[in-house]
Amino acid sequence: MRRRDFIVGTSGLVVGLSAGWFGREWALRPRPRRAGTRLGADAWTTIEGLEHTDALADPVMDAMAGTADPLSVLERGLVKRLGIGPDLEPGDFADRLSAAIRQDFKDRRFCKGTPWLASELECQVAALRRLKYGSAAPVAAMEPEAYAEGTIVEVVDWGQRETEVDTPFNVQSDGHSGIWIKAKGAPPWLRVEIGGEQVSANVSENVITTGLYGDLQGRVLSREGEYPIALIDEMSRVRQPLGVFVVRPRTPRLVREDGTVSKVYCPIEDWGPRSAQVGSPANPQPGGREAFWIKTACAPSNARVFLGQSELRTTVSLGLITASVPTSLLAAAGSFPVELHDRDSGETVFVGMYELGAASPEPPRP
Amino acid sequence: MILDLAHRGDGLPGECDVCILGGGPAGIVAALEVARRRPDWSVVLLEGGGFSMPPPGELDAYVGGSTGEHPYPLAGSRLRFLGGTSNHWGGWCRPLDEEDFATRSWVPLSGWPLSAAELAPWYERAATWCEIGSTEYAQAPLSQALGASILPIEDSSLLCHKYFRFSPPTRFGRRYRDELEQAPNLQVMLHSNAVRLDWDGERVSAVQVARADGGKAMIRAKQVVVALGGIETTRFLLANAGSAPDSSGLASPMLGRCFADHFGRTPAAAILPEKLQYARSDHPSGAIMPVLALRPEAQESLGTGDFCLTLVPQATPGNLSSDYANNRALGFRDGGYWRYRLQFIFEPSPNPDSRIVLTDERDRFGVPRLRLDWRIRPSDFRAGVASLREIGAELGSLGLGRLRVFDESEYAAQMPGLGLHHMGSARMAGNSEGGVVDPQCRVHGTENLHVASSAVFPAFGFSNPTLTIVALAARLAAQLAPDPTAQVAGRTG
Repeated sequence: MRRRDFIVGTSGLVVGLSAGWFGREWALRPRPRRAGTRLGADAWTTIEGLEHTDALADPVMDAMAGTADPLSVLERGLVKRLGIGPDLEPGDFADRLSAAIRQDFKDRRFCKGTPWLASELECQVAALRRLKYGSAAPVAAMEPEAYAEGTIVEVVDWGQRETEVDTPFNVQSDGHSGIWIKAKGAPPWLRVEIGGEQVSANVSENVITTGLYGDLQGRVLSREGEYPIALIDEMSRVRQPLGVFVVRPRTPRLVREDGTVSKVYCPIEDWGPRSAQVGSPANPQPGGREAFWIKTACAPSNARVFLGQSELRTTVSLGLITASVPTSLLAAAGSFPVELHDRDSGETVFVGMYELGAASPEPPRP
Repeated sequence: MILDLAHRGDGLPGECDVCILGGGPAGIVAALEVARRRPDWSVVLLEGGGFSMPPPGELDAYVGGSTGEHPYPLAGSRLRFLGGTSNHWGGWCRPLDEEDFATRSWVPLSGWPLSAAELAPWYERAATWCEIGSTEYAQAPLSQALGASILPIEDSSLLCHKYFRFSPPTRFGRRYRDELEQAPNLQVMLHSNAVRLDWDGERVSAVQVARADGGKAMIRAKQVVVALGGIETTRFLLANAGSAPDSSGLASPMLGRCFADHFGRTPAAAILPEKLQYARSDHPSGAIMPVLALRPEAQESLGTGDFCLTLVPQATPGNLSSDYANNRALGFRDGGYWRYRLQFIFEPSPNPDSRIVLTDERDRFGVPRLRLDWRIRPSDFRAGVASLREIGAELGSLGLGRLRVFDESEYAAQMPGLGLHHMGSARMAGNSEGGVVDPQCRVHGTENLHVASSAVFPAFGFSNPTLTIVALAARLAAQLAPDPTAQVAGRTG
């Protein structure tokens, strides 16, 4: 007997024992198997090595409920379909199975009873595997330790990096607090981990946006502390730490003269410039513009500075608000109120009066 | 020159050669093209808003205006200020496909009365207006450049790759403001709302304009172009249908019908080779974005419209792990695989029951408010979803992956994703029975009333409409002002 024949014959015996198809006498006396009725050891090794097939086994198992000896039925069907005979070389089984499954797709022989467009044969093989070797491991999300730390993309900057307890920031239309990450060429499947929890990311050419979505916002903002932030490339199994997002204790809010307490503003600590002359900004910027600065521990990220009725181009950063005054607003002398207005909350806070004096007469030329 | 009638009520000129209603991309392009071509003509561009987002009160025309199976964000999708909806445009550009112009027996009411070839030179011009670096959309060179980041699609496949390009995006009001201000023969009037057309036989003799302060004025014009956006154009034409000639396109039974928007759904998931990037990608000719689509012959054999789909990497595992594809014996290729969601952008078929009508209520300028009953034909997405069976068969036979098609109950009841592309409700056709405007975008049965808007699209493909809107506006301007002595080539302002 050639070695290959022996292996095939032995394999048939093992199948027979496990399934209880053959009498004990048969089992103890291996015989050359008949061509085209049993899978060989190489085939069973291949089938046993198949992974994550359970989802596709279910529809066949369901359909065969009540069938006597389904394993045998499936085995015979597979042997017949693949045309397996005694001349099958080791390794041929996998190739024949692969080609037959692809042919199933060409012939539109789909597996019934699953939303997956799978081949009829692959579902049968999945069921055969289940019957022979039991369930495969269930599908699960990757464990954190499965990631190697490394660089996914070069991050230029990111923010916002901190806030106060119970203070949403960079609030987006659906209510989540937005975090931006400047990085060019990030893969579109990138995700972000905030405080150990993965959240989705919107990747564009130069920036990644993410944030505190849903319940995560409440969990993070309700408790002061440091929350690690990292980029996750699940495909490459790489985790890239960025730093920590800090939730600080809440600073006391501004109390107005009438005793009401602001929900969004902290007290104004200082601001300036408070006066200038027409045509001569006290804090001159390129193009002749004036620039206001307002020190305050907190302010809504969408707050805007108003000079009189004019909204100014405003930048809100941690502890400091700056705003730029176009020269057209510096053309006439007068006293102008400086206010902060937040569209989201509707709250306005008076900062102070900006006194714009008449221009000094030009000294006579010599 | 730009005048704001909110500040100066008496600035409206009494007459002009060409009066363009609406300062969005179509209106601005039409105005500047005509002004450049005919320095001896006077051009007036009327814009209902100002330089920036109007207060909510100015959008009262859309109050309670949406009915139908899905609420449509009428006010949210209209931007009533200079630059129009280019002010929130994402910049996605691609021409309509050749098959989108054809009459397709399996797509009801499909077919443009002009060919892709007729519009081709105007797409070139539109690309310059929209500041796109290249007009190359051919599959082969772009697919070659993207290499393994897209599916390896053979010529024999049902599928092909199509490409979007990107405008910066051009905010037409800001980008072309200097030229609008400086063109000596062009006057832009802000806060000037066209409310009525006066007729002299088959000619529009004058346009009545309402100012923000409630005052009204008339401007006489030799040619009038309505470029108010897909929804406002239709409302304006409907509001003026009563006084229009009986045989004109404003009396067409199709006016207000066939309103459409590109809509998106996610009816399937897939296991496919890993690291596919159906996202905006760098390319030497400018950013491109690949999408998968059916070849025209496959659209015909499968009875689907011209849809596209993108693959979105999916974080959460389904009941079949992407590691399943490591089983080479099950027909998969070498290499890693990943899980994706399949996001479709469907081509809506023109549906006469999807319509804009006027109500008895009037807005602050006295123009009837509208009601939109937006409808999607279920067949528009069912045929596309059904084609997944063939796509899945092909992918499986090539060892590229597996598809999972969701049950319709899992996605069809949800609000579909919207393109906010207002198309079709003043459609182009060969006669006024079939549509409102002729292939030259002139309202049927009129001598001097024209439409520059996606409202004239008679069929829709899946491409974002701005590039086609601009191409049609530039083409219309050339028809209105055909003087060849003007400097045209290469100038875009």
